[in-house]
Amino acid sequence: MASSATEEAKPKPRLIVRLGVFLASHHILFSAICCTAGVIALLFLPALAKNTYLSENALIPGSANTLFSTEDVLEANRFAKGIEAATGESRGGTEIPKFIAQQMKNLGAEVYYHEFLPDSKCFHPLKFFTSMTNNMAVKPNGTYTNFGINTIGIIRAPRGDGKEAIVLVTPYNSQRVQPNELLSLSLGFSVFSLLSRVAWLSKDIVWLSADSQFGEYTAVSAWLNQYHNPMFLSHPVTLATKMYGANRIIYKPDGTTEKAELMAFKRAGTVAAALIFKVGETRKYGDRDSVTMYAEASNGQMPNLDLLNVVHYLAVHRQGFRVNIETFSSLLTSSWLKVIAEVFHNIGTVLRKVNPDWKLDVTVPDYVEGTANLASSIYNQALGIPTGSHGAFRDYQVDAVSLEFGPAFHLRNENAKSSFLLRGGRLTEGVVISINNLLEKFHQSFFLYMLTAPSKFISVGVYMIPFALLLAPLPIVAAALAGSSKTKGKLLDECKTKGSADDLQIECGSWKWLKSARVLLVIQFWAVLVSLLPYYISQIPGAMPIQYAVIWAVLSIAILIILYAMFGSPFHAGVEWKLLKATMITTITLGMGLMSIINFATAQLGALILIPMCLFSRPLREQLEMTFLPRTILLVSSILLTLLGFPPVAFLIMNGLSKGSWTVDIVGDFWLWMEFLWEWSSATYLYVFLVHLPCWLLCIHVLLHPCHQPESKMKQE
Amino acid sequence: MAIRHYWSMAAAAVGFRLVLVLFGGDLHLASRPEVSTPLTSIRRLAEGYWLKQASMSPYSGSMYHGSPLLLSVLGPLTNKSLIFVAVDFIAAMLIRATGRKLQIARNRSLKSLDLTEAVSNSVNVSAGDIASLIYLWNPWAIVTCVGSCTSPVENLMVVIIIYGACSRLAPLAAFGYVMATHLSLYPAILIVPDIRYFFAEVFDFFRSFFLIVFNMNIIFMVLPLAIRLKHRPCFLAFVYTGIVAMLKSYPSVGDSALYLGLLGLFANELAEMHFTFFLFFGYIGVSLLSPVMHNLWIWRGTGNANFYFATGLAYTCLQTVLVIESSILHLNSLNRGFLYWGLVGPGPSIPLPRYHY
Repeated sequence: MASSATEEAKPKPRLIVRLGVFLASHHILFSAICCTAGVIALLFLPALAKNTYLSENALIPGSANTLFSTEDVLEANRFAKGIEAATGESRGGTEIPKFIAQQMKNLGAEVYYHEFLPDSKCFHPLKFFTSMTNNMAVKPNGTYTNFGINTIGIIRAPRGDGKEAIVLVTPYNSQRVQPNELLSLSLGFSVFSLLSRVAWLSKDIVWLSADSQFGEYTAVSAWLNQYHNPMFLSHPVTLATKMYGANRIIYKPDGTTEKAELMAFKRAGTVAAALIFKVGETRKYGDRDSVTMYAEASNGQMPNLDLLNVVHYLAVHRQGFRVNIETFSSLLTSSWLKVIAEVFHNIGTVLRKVNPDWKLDVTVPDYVEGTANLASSIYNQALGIPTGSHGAFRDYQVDAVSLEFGPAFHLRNENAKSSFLLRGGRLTEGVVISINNLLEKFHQSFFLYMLTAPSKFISVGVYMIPFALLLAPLPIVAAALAGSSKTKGKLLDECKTKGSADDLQIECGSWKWLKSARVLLVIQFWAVLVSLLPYYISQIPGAMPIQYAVIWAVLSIAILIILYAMFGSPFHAGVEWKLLKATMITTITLGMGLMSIINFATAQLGALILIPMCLFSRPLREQLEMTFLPRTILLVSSILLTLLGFPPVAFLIMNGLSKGSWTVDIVGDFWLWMEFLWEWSSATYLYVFLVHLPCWLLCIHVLLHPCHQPESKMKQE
Repeated sequence: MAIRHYWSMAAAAVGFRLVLVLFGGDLHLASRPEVSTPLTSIRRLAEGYWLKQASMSPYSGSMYHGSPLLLSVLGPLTNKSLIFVAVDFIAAMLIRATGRKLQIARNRSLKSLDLTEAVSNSVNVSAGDIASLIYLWNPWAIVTCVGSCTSPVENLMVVIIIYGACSRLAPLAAFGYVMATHLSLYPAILIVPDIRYFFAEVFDFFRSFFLIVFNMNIIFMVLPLAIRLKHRPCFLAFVYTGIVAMLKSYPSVGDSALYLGLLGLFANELAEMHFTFFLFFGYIGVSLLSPVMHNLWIWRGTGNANFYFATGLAYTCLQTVLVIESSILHLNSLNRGFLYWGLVGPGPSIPLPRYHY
């Protein structure tokens, strides 16, 4: 009677609840539709790219006449000659810094040397969450004979208050200066000398000629670290021992005051923006000189789009350069991409006929080029490793871009070189004028975008759609699975009368998922241990990458077995596979959601692999009970997807697709890859080991689940 | 019924804390805004202590906001985080003892009603053990303890109140009450206060009306809850701690560690709670999301304060769902229990279709 009364009193559930129940009951169809739509939307992205536009009005690029003239070109040539003469009598690579410092001093700039040690790359996966002040310089022990010397000149702005600065960087190798580096140094110097004479500067100019003998990133990041983290050394002695060698070489014994002045670290204000420019090594054949923009910083961060817009506008419309961005050249010639492009072109034309406002009919070459550029953009962002020394600036929230000039002439051709210097100088000067105009730091335009061409971008609102579509079915499926197991669980509870107290507590009612949560926690704990193992493994000296990788794999498996022995294997714990799958899907939702905030591109690529794998996973034993056709399809697809989801395999495929070449040594390569990731403290490493790997293992558990247990228990009762 | 391996698990929790205290210096937990607030930060306490030593008022600037008592008691110990491990352990033991007391009280009342059969048949696990283990192994409690802020001390005082009240030790409860209110004021609602006194107190402290409304919000809930839950004072205390954690200014994970620990005391009543799966993963998600959003806001500059604030909103929503769900279930189990024992009729209960009894 009581139950009938409650049924009568039962009000109609709210619309959102009914909608949820409806979706949950059709979750297979829903997830199939969403995933397909997600993949299609991803392929549609190059067609959705918009033209870039300047958002910040203060920039007004190209409105002022540039002052860089042939005089400055002559200055550059004179500077290049001077360096060549200085390196002729080379004594240990200190002549160039000395020469540059002298030249800058003659211009009336403040000059100093910054000495740094090569970065000892070590393993610290937690660096992502720690603040910048913590990664202070290495503690030197003993004397170092091998160190780099940056030479820095500062022009104080005649109209500024010294609170802001623009940084220009020209990397060069102080040990062996190549002709192209000489050209970029002389370009840098000529711009610097021009800027030391102009009256309109309202931001200080810092020219950093970075010693790239240990890589340009190391040089720039060492300088930036000291720029932003003033060192109050409690042991001045250590610094003295560290730099003793340098001082002895650079300075004559009598110049002690000069020495102190040149060694004192000087600062300008907050860095508003930074421009890194260098001349490429190889001659690029073409009708015009080219500029390649590199913008990806660590963990997929990008500089403000306005900075790229200014560079692009001035380079193309004022100085006649051809502007490129990085691309996957293997994709440009691939035939399957052309087929996809044809299909999308046709769809776009049809859509355009339906509504003329939908301009989706990109031409086939445009689509192919856009896809190749976009793929490179996503790949570089997903790796989370900066593509140049601009990455060091982004770590301090400074917008920076690297420009690599690709001369279309031979470097001995003096006429062409002069013309190139003139245009390169004017481009640099134009960018400096624009940044100099800024009243606030870059904030108007996008920070979250991907480039499909130097002047075309996809903003966050658009590129989120495919990811959101892929992620949308996950909560629904989790709810459906948890719900269906609950109804089954109730039946179980009713027939069960007695049991051990622990089991009863866990299995009754709505706390049944605790068991699967325990499995998840054990696996996550394992994943944390696996991700920390390389720290210890890499300290074994003198082994091949493949040996490291094998040790890693063996130790991981051993730890897994030990953990299962300690906390109980999930195969014997009697966890329902539906609950296990629901737990896995919830973990993926959380992990993907987090990763999309940290590094969207990684999450996007990961979702493409992980989400179909998880949605397809069903216990093999249960699959065997189906009829032939669905069984084969499910079996093959789930095994194939699980294989694809294994991180080394996924990496191999990514690598193959990006480079267009397939390597044989998967294991050793995987180790090298991971080493690369943690050296740069990329969050992708954390993603691979804390999200991807545990989910993959859970997926294996679901596949191998002995799903007869609940029934046998029921029979026992 | 006691839990197997209780002591080994408790020892492991203490050992884990010790390991983190000794070797986890690189985690910089003390600088996380989720862990230490301006009110509970031990770094500020150390600064205040230093000022006091230099015979300057620690309250003249905006550095230290805590209690002068803490300054003199904890001040000399600021570089010894081991003390917080001990504090946490004592709090867990008190929670366990509280659970025991509650269990004994329940069994006694059942016996007095000649329901010995019900006593022997009940397969209830020891709620106190569960609660203290939850408190010991709660990641937030661990983080709070290792991040060395004063929240563990405040939590201990609240636990002392509850323990003192449950074991009828009025002086102990009064001591805990006085200490807890002295340290953070919010536990004041654990006694149903004289409203007038509070009005005077609050108006004295806060200048703007908005602040008053914000801070009074807690007090509005005190009386209705006290009336509704008058039969279950211990559960009332849990609900109050939950509400304090939700509505206090400068909340930290330490507050949540307290009420989640107390939640374990009602493990038997809450065995059929709804949304547990959702709540569990929600709590995990929020606690991971918070540092990421903070990083986005402070270090990367691509997000802003609203991102972090949104995480806080989600966290509060989760807490609300938890408190509401547990209250509903507790009230219903109360009614169902009385019905089962034939004490009272169906009585008033919250009319929700999914609970049939």
